[in-house]
Amino acid sequence: MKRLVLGGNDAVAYAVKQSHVDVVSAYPITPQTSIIEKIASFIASGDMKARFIKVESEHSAMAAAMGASAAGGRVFTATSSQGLLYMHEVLHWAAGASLPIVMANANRAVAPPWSIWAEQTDSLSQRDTGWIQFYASNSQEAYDILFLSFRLAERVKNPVMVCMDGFLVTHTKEPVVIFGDEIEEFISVKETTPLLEVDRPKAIGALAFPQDYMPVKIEQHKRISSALAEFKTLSDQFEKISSRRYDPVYVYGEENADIVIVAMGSNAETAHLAVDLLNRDGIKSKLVKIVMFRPFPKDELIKAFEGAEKIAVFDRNISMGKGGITKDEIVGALGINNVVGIVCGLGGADVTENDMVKVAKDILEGKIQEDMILWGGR
Amino acid sequence: MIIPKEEIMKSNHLACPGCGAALAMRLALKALGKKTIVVIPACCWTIINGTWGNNFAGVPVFHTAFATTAAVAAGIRATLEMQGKDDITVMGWAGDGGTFDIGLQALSGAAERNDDIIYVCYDNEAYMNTGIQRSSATPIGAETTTTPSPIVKDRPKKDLMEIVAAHDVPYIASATVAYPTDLIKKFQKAKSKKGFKLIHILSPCPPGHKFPENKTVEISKLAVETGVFLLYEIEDGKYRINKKPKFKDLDEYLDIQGRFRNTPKEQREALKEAIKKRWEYLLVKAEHFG
Amino acid sequence: MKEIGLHGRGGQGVVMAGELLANIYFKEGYEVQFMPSYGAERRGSPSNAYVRIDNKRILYRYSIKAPDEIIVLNVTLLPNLLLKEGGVALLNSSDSSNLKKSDKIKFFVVDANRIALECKLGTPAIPLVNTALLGAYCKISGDFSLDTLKKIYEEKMGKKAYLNIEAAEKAYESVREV
Ligand SMILES: Cc1ncc(C[n+]2csc(CCOP(=O)(O)OP(=O)(O)O)c2C)c(N)n1
Ligand SMILES: [Mg+2]
Repeated sequence: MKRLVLGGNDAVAYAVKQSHVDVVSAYPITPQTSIIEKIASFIASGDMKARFIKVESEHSAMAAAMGASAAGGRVFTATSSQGLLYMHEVLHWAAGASLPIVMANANRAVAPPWSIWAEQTDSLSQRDTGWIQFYASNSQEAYDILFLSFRLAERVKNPVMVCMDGFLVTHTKEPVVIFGDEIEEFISVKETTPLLEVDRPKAIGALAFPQDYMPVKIEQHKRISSALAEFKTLSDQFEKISSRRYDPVYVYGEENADIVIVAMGSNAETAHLAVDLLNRDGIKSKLVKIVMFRPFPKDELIKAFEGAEKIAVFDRNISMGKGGITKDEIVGALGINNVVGIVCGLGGADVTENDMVKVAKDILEGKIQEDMILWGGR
Repeated sequence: MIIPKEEIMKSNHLACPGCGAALAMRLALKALGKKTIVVIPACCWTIINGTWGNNFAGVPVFHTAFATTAAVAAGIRATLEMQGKDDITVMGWAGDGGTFDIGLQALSGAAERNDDIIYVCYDNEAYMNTGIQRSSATPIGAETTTTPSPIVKDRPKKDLMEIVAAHDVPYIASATVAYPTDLIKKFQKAKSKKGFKLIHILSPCPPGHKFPENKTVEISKLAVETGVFLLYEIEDGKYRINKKPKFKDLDEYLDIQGRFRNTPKEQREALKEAIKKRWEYLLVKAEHFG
Repeated sequence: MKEIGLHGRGGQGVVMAGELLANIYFKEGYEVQFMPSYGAERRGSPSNAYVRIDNKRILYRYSIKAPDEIIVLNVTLLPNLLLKEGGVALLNSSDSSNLKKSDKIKFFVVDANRIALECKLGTPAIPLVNTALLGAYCKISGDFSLDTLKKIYEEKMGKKAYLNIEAAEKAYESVREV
């Protein structure tokens, strides 16, 4: 093991290199591009043995990934924002066909107006495509979750999307522990199964009348839902190798908190600082970070919120005409009413620990009671 | 040439009686054999191959989204390469809508990369699965539900073969079910070549073109004899005409198909003119690049 | 925690300088975070990069507005730069006579253009001054050794490292406070 100064994109490329990936198919888009450039250079130098299909669009990137996966390969792709939206149809297809593809998504705001900066509306609007979704809040998490994702995808036969806030995670370089051979025993296990075999000719995805369609979808829902438990099993194995623990929900701070700050992605890093500041000021507070967004970690969240007085959910995303998306998910799943949603950081706008502290205090003092949009004009 | 006896495709498929596309697949699989994987986008063949739990093609089939045929096939090939399985043919099998229109971009991508697949367009000259709407493969003068008389299709059919030829791929051929040995030979040739191959098959459609279901082969033959559909190959850039048309009267071809019932005189003339031009063009190509 | 801003124009190697600096500090045992600021950058347009260094894991995930110290590759940008009170500014300049002095900021200058050209780095139109400036910064910050700088240059630049090391050494010797 060694520690290198890497951005989230670099870390993902390293993980892909070490994951015995058979096929990569991808199309460039900022701020994802440096992932596939690095992979291309690994292949060119002979450090990685994989086929890289340089497709002509994201729609084809996912389509080629589907073909490669259906033939039994371990497959990786990466995209962002407009590219992810362009894939939408095929995202459903990949999940419906139970193909264990792993994709990195650089969270980037959606145009217009054009923006290349961090926002999670792109991947959250793919919420219902049937993909498992992780949100990494730093380079180390991006690296580690990639390995877990290949294993999880193949274990539950469902594609996995690993999201990173554009620039704030993808390009922000920091020390990352990179495995040597230690990861081999974990990542060399492949549970891919070819769906297309010439000696057992089957048709995948044929027209299903209602009596057939419903059972298939029930099965699919069970499959992705099982990812919560399977993730824990794989996480145990991963922890033994890395001494790093991953759970669907991460908590930091005080029990029975006066205020819980909920965040996902890069905001969760800054939120640690806010929690420290609040606790220093005598306000018991806690960070709850959503690591796995789909399947939704309802029970883990119930546990994390135990004894909480107020909950402030910071969403770097927005469902127009509704508000923050994770806030809505939490309220919908848990049926609780002590939650305030804060939409913030759209299109890469800064969100600081002081912003979070002020909102938290205002909520506790009753100055903020309704969902809000945090915008100080910076 | 003897047509292989073995039937890979099942006869209880769900095609309409007289379906040119069903016959085309039957012949294609005879040529390619069982070690073939087929990718099928949204089109009539989605249905023909059977509903959930069925697979009348008799070889592995991946049903996929409308625009994705060539890309999915390229992905399958990539994994097969990594697995060292080089004795399997990967075939994309799409309609004209899935090829000339929505799938053209993915097709162009795969052709430009020279992915090792056979891409087949079975061309029934309209979106038949959704009930006969015009595509860019619909010939001038034809009536469809989106080009109802008197505003029949007023633009000529797109030239797919030339579009793909512009990508400099190893093999491109046209075929019809009226010339089965020619069709089978072309599939065998495509199978033997590495890289991107396109086979464009004219596939008459009784309900879509409005003709009796026992006339599929006859109409295919007429298409070739009148010069409406030219049988030729482009092998490594070299053009070869496989059958010189007899230039039978075009009206014979048009009059047995209801879709041309309301074709105005000028458009019939335009069609005849187009046949002449197309033939002259091909002759020049065959002469200079033969 | 210390925040360092690197400011220049596209083509001068600002992003690379930031990444080198982060790696140098990391080798010295610090926790580091390197944040290039990405925009619609083209050759010649302003380009910024930031490095945070600390003794513990760095959790800030937002941009730096006013760093503690700045390294300025192109002094034409100076009027638009922000710096914390009591901060340090290292300027690539041969001449400090025009500088508006302030008792709240410590200014240092080094003629990195001349040094870069002497070491055959870049072209007279765009000298590659990034590696020289880090040599000067090594001197004024006292945070890391010239030896560590050399090691990182060698790791990241391979054969081309020696000219850059030479430039860093020259700048280390000639940087002066104004
Ligand atoms: C993205 C998308 N748009 C539209 C459709 C609806 N659709 C299904 S099949 C089809 C027509 C197919 O036409 P063609 O490719 O010519 O094949 P044919 O049905 O004639 O065999 C259409 C429009 C679809 N499935 N997907
Ligand atoms: Mg059609």
